Amino acid sequence: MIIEQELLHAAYALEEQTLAEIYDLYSPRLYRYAMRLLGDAQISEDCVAETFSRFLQALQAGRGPRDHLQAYLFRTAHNWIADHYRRAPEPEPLKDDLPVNGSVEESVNLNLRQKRVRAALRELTDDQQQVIALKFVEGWDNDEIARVVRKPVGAVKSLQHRALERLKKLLLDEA
Amino acid sequence: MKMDKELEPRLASLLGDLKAVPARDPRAASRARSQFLAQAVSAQGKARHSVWNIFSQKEQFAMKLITTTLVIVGLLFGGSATVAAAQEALPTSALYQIKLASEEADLAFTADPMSKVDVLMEQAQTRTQEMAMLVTQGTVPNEALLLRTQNRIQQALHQAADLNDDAAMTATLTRIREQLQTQDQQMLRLQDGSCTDCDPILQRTRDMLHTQINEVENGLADPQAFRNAYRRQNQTRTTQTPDVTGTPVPTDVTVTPQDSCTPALDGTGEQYRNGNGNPVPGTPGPQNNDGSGNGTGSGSGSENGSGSGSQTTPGGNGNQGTSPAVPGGQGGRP
Repeated sequence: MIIEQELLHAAYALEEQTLAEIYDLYSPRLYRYAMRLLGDAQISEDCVAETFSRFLQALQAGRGPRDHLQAYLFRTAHNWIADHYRRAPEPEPLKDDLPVNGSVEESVNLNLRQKRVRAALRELTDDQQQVIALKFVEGWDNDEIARVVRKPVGAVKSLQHRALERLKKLLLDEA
Repeated sequence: MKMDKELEPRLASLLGDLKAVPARDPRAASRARSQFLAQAVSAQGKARHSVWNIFSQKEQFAMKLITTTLVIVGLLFGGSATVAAAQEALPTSALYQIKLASEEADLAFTADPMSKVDVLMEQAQTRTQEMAMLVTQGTVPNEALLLRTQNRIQQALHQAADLNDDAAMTATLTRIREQLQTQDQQMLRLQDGSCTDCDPILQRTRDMLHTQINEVENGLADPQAFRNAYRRQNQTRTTQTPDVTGTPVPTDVTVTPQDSCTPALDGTGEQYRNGNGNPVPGTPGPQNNDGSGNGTGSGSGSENGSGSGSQTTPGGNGNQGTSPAVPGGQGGRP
């Protein structure tokens, strides 16, 4: 917490070393998060670039985060992803950079399952997507998620409950 | 895990499938990092301009008078000696800004495009020499030094692309390639284990040099495509919007070059374009108080290579609770 606040304090002075430190600390996590939700390396790079760009612009304008930098960055990234979903409603192409070392068939199946889950996530509201992704894919706890979605923990639980019900219908009932 | 109790196993398994993603391409990651830091350097320059601009607006006449007087007095009583002494200055020295300013003046007074390339590459070489001297002293060179080097190389490539004669451009690019290879060798020699803390920045510098060498190779292979790509970037830059605060960037102040004239710095010439090679469609709106808006709409291209149009204004900036810990043990600090 103290380290994060020190980083932010120096970041407002636009110190290159600090900004590089922040980038190195959070960029891999943000990329992984974007990749999990978007399934496209190039678009995920765009997401990370835009997230940090907005962060820099917010710092310049004196309107950046004063604390909870990680929550701020994930919120910004998720808003970009939700925006991307709206702008590009077509289904993602099947990727050939398959992530696992198993057989080709296994990899193809995994890829298809991922596409199906991403498609289902896109049926949820922005907040529901964020709660599900952070909780069940990234493994965050409710307090952390509450800071990202800027809602009380109770509201996070409620969002989670409704989102899971909807996902069950979309992914399990139809199967 | 806690989530397993709340989640039906089949659903947990499906969501768990999303965790398997391919590793990030290190070249793309390195390029993105360079772009962000270039933006940061540029932002720092703009911030300095803003402060100076207040003076220039309020006390323009008085400031000009004082500046002129100081310059004349400085030149009369040892100004040239100071500038000469500054030529040996390292980034840790108080005279370093004078050195950068004098380099900028050299560049401004060089009109011939071929000579300009030589001046720019000489300055890039000076930066890598400074890096070498710092490493020899056991001081870790900072990121700004790398970015200044990259800045000069990119400017040299832009100059080369402006040459209409293919033969002249090829000769210039060949010369640039030789100089970049020399610099790369110099960086390699510095990675001798005598300053292990310096290795990351030296490696990043080498990565940057390799990217620039690739650019040059591409230019040598297809001069017309190289020329078109760089000219397109120049056009894109001339049509850019002002900074996000809406404050026009002043042009009548003396600034160091690395802060004010930043061309594409990622080594790919893609700074003003998004990853798909398309002009960026939107610029985040200044009304957004945390930069995280998610509305849709259109906008003009932005310097940062991305953007998503007009945005909603969020209610706050996340100032509640305590700082989140690193979740799930993921994404350790590199």
